[in-house]
Amino acid sequence: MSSFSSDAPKVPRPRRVDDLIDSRLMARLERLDVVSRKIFSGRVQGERRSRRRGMSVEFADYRPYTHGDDLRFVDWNIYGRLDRLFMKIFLEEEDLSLMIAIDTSASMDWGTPNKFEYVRRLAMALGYIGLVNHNRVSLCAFGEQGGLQRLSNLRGRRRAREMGEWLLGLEQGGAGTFDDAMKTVAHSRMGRGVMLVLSDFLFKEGHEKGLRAVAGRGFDVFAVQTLSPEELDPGANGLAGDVRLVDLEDDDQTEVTVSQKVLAGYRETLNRHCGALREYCLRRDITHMLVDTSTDLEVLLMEYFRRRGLLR
Amino acid sequence: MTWLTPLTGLVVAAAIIPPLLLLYFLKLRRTSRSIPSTLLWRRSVEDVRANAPFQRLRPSVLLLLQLLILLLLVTALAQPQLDGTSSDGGRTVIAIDNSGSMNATDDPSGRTRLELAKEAAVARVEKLHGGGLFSGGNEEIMVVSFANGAEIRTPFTDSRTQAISAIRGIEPTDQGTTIGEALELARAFTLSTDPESSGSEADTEAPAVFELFSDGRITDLDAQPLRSGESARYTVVGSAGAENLGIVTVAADRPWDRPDQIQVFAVVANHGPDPVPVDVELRVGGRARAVTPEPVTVPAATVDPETGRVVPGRERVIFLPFEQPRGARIEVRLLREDDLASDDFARLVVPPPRQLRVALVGELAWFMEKLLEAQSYEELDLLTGPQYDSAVEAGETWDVVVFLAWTPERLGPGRYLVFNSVRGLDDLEPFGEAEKIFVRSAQDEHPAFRYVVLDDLFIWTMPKVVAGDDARVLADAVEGPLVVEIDRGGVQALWVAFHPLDSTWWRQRSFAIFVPNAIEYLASVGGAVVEQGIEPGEVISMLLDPGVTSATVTLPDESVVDVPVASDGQLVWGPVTRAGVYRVAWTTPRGTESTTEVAVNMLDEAEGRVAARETVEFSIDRVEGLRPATASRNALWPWLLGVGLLVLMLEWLVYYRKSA
Repeated sequence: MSSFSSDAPKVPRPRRVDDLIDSRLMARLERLDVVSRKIFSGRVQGERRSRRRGMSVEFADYRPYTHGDDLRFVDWNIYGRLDRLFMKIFLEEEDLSLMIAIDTSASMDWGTPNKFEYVRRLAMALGYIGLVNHNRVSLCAFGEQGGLQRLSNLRGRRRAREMGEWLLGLEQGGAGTFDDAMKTVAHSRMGRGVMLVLSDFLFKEGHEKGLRAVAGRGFDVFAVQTLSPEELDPGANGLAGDVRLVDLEDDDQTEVTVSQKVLAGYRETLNRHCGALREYCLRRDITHMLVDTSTDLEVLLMEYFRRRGLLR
Repeated sequence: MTWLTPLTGLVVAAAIIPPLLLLYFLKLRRTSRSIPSTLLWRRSVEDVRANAPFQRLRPSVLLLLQLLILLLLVTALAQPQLDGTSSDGGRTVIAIDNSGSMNATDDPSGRTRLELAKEAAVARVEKLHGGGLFSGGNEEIMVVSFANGAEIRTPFTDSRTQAISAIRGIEPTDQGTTIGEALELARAFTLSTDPESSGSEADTEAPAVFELFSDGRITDLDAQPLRSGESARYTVVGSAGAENLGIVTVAADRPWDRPDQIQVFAVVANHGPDPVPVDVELRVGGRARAVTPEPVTVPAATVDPETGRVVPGRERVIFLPFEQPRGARIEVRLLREDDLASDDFARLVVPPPRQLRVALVGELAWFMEKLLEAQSYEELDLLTGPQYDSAVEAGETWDVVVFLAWTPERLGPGRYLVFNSVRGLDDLEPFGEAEKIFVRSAQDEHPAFRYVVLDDLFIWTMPKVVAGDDARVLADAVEGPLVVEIDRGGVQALWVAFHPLDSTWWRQRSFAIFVPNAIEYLASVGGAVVEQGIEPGEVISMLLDPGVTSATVTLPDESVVDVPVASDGQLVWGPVTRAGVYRVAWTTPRGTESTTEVAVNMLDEAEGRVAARETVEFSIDRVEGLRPATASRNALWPWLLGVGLLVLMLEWLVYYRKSA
């Protein structure tokens, strides 16, 4: 069961890359780029200004020539006027590392629209933006116990299909811990950069340790909390009567007699939970974004993410 | 609104509604729903779970619908009625008239009054008992049917089924209508006797309602006053405008001078207000022999100005004598349909002409010899006492024996006309002599006294006797019985106290009429000459051959009854209930098959008057008639169950939608 109501429309699972992202959206996404609030050092020369002086066309400063300097960067005009050798120093442009972490735990395979499908399409769109802008895009999926699926270091739009196929091949299920997965990512040599965590953040063990692991490693972290309409307002989406609620991940059961009072209590608990996550993120310089899966993906990318500064 | 079984409803309600509410409290059944995580829900419902397993009962459409279904069911079990008479635990005597007039079919449905009365009585029982599925009331009901006599179909019972089956078991008859016996029987059963003080004043009558289902044509109602504490309810069956034409008398006779011929007479009575023309048909042996040449107009009924009683119009019909040397079954039929068919025909069984064998025994007085010789008997033996004894010992038999001033010491089975002798007649106790006697009264309607006038009879001397139980006085004087009919065992006798020569009778014309009448009557009693028709309510009684132990009686509906025969050959069966021809068959000790037929005719003029009475009067108590109520159609429980079924379907729909 993917929602409270059995008569909810069944959305077919994407089978092709084109199902994840269509050409019209791709055309619109090509004008966007991922924004990082921090400047990271990249591995290869890229399109992003670096702290290091380098070989871009953007002039930075002069310095006296010293032995061994590249004669190509000598400012011959100044040598003609002053007869002294000065070196032109340019700003270095480096690539940006974009890490997209996808929650594939069993709790994500729920809701109408399905949270997992929504997250896959969102990851595909964000990854595509990164590839188009020559960023180094890495993806990882966590959820299975102790397992972390990865796809590292994609560059250029030609890798979009590979990324799409990887996303299509993701298996959801399991109840792997968020903390372990984030620690693994933080300790990997995939390079620091922008990190998008796409999850519902319904972790019984808590999300603090995991987020701290990646935030502390210098990632510019965006926590995208994805919830379905049924989770945001169960009363309006078919939950009624006397029910036994069964946890998809650990089969934990809770008996609930749905009443206005219980629903109000749930909403309050949800707000408290989301507020706690948001507050934690603020303290760790993490951007928290709550996404309703009923929001149109294009609207989310073109308006909401741009407004929140993830894209420009 | 009346509740027939409120206690049942309350008990069931107490038994099933609390468990339903308890089930809702306990929430024994919940629908499983998968959710991504119970993380948030656990915190939300902690306060609710703290109260488990009992939870606050909250409004639920399903609960309301289920409660509604149960309430409808419980209400149906309580059996409400819009217009019912609830049982008050009293006693009711249901008396159903099954006399001849109740066979009238004046109802437009074509059903007989008895069927309608039974239906009304069943409806009444159901009302008294609540008309529901359970015998909710403790009403005690007794069922009695009455016609000539009364029969208890069931004594007081609180079983509805038993009362109804007793009512349904009541059969139609063609008998007359008297209610006295029914009332007496009912009173006997309503009398509560305290066993510790039996016979004393402690005997009390429990109040009983006498419910009468009849057309009101009850002959002895005037003589039946209701006692204190008794109440009557009268349900009229039949219409006051019912008309009927009936045969009230039928007779067949062989003229003495032409014994091969039969002459048939009939009297037709009209109970209606207008003269009615009718064709009358005579059938012999099942085939039409004659029809009146033109319709006989039966005059209208009139009202006697002195008594106020209705006197039916009568018309006599005489058919010309016809040749019938053999026996015949004769039927007179009215060729007109009316509301009562039972009296539109009358039958007679006329045996072949047979000459009697008669003996004159004792004093061979010349006037008696002359009188008997003048009759054309087949054989007339003149015997003295000793000659008679020896002839009897030799096995000699006669149809009728006339004893004059002598009788044997013991009379064997047979038919006797006895003058002036009491020897051998145990039913007569002599106690002296009387002199100078005049006749005080005589039963003129008796066949032996037909056309016999005793006004001028004077008797000089005669013995005084006391008649026993088996003796019936036909004529008497102040000093004692003059003519007695004895019917004991196989002995049928007419006893005349005095010697004809001790009176003026022997030289009067009435004596010459009486003796042949008496011999013919005696011969007919045992079936020797003519089978006379009997009326419903009477018994078939006949003397068969000595040694016959059993016989069969075939009823008009062709059903056969085995009847035991007494050792002296006396067959008694009855009383007969329906008009028609009854055939008696037996096998003689010599092995020959014998049959005889008895015609039973409904000739009761009172029964022929079929116009139903709207009121009946128990002596001074006037009871207004009620029209039969239909069965308990006003019961609401079927409607309640129907609504319950609809709500059940709605509940199923709601449940399906919620659980889907």
